[in-house]
This record gives sequence, structure tokens and C-alpha cells, in this order.
Amino acid sequence: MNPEDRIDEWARARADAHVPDGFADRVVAAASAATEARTPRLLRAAALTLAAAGGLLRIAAALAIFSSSCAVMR
Amino acid sequence: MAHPTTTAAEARRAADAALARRAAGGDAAAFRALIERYQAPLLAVVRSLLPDLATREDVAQDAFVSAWLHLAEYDPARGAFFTWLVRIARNRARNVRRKRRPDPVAAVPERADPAPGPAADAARADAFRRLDAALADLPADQRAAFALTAIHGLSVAEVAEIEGVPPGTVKSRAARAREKLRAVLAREEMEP
Repeated sequence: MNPEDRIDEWARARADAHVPDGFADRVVAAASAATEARTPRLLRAAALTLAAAGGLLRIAAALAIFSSSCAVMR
Repeated sequence: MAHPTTTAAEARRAADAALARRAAGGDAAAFRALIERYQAPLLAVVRSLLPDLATREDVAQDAFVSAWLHLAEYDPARGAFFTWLVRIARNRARNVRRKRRPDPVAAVPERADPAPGPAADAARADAFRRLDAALADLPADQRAAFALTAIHGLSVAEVAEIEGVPPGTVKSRAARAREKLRAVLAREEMEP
């Protein structure tokens, strides 16, 4: 067999691998665990965002009171 | 993977896109269907990219988990699901190679080649072993270019995008890899 044909034959044989028993089950379990691990981080990020938004609103309210006080004094 | 016809490839791409959409919405059964469809070829890709690593199954598993976590980012208009999965696996393989030393694992496939019977089978088995070893000895970029195009059926354009290089670079890397593999077989024929 010429080398090119042999390489092509070998490449076809190597296109798939043996799948260990239970591989798909392990992937699904790992994906589920990764999703659960991710959720608290998302909740923390959401809580921080809300806290920052609340802080910005308070600053805006304080500035509004200050500027209306300045307007009244003029 | 075999090279499917254009129509069959389009149908598969549409089916994968539908499964990916459902999986992105949290449908675990759809995700499992994708795993079962691509576990064998993805394990083969990881074996090609990391022939000297014993924990290839972990790398393939990590690639699937990463795909699950980032399914919302998969855009079927940009390419086939398997190509996207291979890109994830390729990035994982790069990270692993940077962090670890190779394990002293012989570059042999998990599935044993048929036991040599007649002389032709023995020659075939011997050639396959030499080619496995030669693939493992290639520089990583040549190995990836050759394996992803010649073994795993990705197009040059797809591999260029995965590797972040021009298509011409992929072609020349794959060509140099093939020359080296050819040379290995030529040396075998010259040996007494």
C-alpha cells in the first residue's frame, strides 16, 4: 500500500475513540455541579449590583436636595 | 468523523442547532443527546491534541462542561456545533499543556487495533503504531493542523479560526506534518 493510502487509512481509524463506560453520565454530573457552583456567584453579583444602584440613588437624592436648597437660598 | 455529504451535513447542523437551543434553555436531555453524539469524536480530538496525557478524559469532560456553561454563546450561523466544541477543547488542551509535564504514556490508541493475523494485517498494525508515535512527536501546531483537518474532518477555514492563524498557515502546517508521517512510513519500508 502506498504511504498516502496508508496515512488516509490510519486517519480514518483514528477519527473516533473508545468511549469509557459512563462518560456521558460523568459529564452530565459535572455540568450539573458546575451550574450549582455558578449560581451563588451570580446571586452575589446581583446583590452587589443592587447595592451599588441603591448607593447611587441615595447620592443623587442628596445632590437633588443640595441643589434645591441652593436654588431656594438664591 | 467521516466527511458527510453537503445535504447530510446541513441536516446535522440544523439538528445540532436545535439541540443546542434546547440545552441552552436548561434541557438536560438535549445536552445529553449532544454529548452522546460527539463524545467519541471529541475524545479522539483530545487524544490527537494530547497524545502524551493520561487524563484525556478529564480534558474532554471539561470541554463539554464548558460548552454547557456557555451554550448561550454558540451561534449556529458562525459554524457547526462540533467545530465550536473542538475550539473549546483546543483551548483546554493548550492550557493543560502549558501547566503540566507530559505523562509517560505511550502514544497508543485506547481501542486496540485488530490483532495481527496475516502479514498484511501485521504490516498495517505496525504502520499504525509508527504513525501514532510520529503524530505524538510532531510540534503541537503541526499536530493540531493535521489532526483537525485530516483525521477529524474540519475544514481549513474552521481550523484557521480555531488556531487564530491564516488558512495558508494551516495548510502548510498540515502539509509539513504529512511529509513527516510519509517519511516515517518510507523509513519503515527501507528497513530490512
